[in-house]
Amino acid sequence: MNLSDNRKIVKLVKESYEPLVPKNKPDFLKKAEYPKLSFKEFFIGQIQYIRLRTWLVSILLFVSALFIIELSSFYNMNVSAIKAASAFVPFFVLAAVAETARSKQYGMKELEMTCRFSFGTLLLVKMILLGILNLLLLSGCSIFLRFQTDIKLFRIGIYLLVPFLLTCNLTLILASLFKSREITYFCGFVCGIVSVSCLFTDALVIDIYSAKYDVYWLLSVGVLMLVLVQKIVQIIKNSGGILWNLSLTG
Amino acid sequence: MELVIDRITKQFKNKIAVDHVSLKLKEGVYGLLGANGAGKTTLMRMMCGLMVPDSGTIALDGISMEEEQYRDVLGYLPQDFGYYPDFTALEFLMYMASLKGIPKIRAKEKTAMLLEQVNLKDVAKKKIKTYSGGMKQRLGIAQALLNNPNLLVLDEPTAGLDPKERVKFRNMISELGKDRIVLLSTHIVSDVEYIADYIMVMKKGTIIHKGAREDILKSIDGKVWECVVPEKTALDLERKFPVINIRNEKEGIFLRLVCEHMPYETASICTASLEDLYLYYFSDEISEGEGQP
Repeated sequence: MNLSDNRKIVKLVKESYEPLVPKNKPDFLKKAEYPKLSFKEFFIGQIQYIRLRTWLVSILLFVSALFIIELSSFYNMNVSAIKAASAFVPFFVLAAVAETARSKQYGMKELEMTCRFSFGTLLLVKMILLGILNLLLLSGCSIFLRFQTDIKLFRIGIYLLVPFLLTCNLTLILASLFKSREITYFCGFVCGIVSVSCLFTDALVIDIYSAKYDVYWLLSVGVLMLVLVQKIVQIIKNSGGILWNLSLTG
Repeated sequence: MELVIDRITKQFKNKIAVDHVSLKLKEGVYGLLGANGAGKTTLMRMMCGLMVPDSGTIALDGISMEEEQYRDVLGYLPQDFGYYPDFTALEFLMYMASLKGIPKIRAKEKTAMLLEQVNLKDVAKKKIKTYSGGMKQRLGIAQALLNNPNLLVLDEPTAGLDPKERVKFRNMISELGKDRIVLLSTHIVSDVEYIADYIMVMKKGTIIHKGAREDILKSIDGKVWECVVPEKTALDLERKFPVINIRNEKEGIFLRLVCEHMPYETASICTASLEDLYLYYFSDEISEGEGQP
């Protein structure tokens, strides 16, 4: 018996028998046990709740950054290209901050805190998702810069990671200090300062993008990374505690 | 099913919002009555794990309110809940369902059922920012019921609902209270009177009365009076005792008041209602509130 025969039989059965009308379906649904979402399903499911605006702004920033890099390298100015890209990096973070601060901004935090997946878990998921997006954008910028300049990819990555991690740390500090709904504006201000600073760093330290300073760049990345991890753990702990446990990941 | 609240206390700077409150709640509808600042919202927020008590414990069937299994069976409607304005009602409920760990297929069914139940089916695809206060409140009730909670905490659930919606809501709550613990706080005494099986009266952070409606009313039995008095006497009585009702009549001023003894020689005693009780216990706070700008 092939598939076509099978379908014919199913069709015939459907036509021959009147299906039973479900009785007390709501009552049944109310009492029925059902498997809960696993952490993996929850994690993937949250992608759809990140605003379209956040994706679009991030892409727009990325394209603008590439355009400025292209423009800078057109004049054969390696340092200018790195500076321009660095100045854009804090705004990638700002787009992510606006998304994660949404609960506070719109007063949804109270409802989100009473759900099975704790607010801490939700915050962590959002930060990971947006962090992945930001790292993809950073990688894109780095690769593009590699083709436009004669600086090695690893060094470019380090140069861009420093303003990125610095902005992440500063915005997280602000988020833990200020409970107000206007936190996004404060973070915007900080991003602006970091961005402008990137444009003038080489005026303060000559040859800052040369190999002799690479140790300091690397050290900065290490320290900022450690502070960031510590800050994230602290924020998650303060926002409703439990990250997740094994029963949630099952 | 049993919710045990054991000597919980919460203090804000110099003010004790909740003072060593102990309760044992089983299936049924519990009404929490109290004036503003009595500690109702603080108590409810602690029950929902939004605030950590300074001392004491809260557990549902032995599961502490800090655990995720507790939140898994909890439904909560805050007094003033926020929402993402770009969400439609459908998106909002699906989002809340995902946070409550409900699988997508089940969430879709449950969402459709609840939207119909709260009469928002026709506007399910409209943005929440276009909703009226009552519609938002109904949406809030729907999200609280998404996970079919064993413990349902409703803070001022009838605020913003029109009389028809309130009646529908009362019926819905009565039905829900059959197989779960429902705790609701409200200023609207009649709501508690109609819905609640048990009433708890909270004042200055403590539960001053708890029990079935009839039992609780015993505390003011024989203290509710009605009389018609001249205008000058009415003013005098109004100053001295909590007045529940006042109106002009041909013969003088009609007063219904709560008083330990007979307030006027022609006064007649009458059956006490929950509103009388509320005014009796909170008359001092109501007067203070009225004096404020």
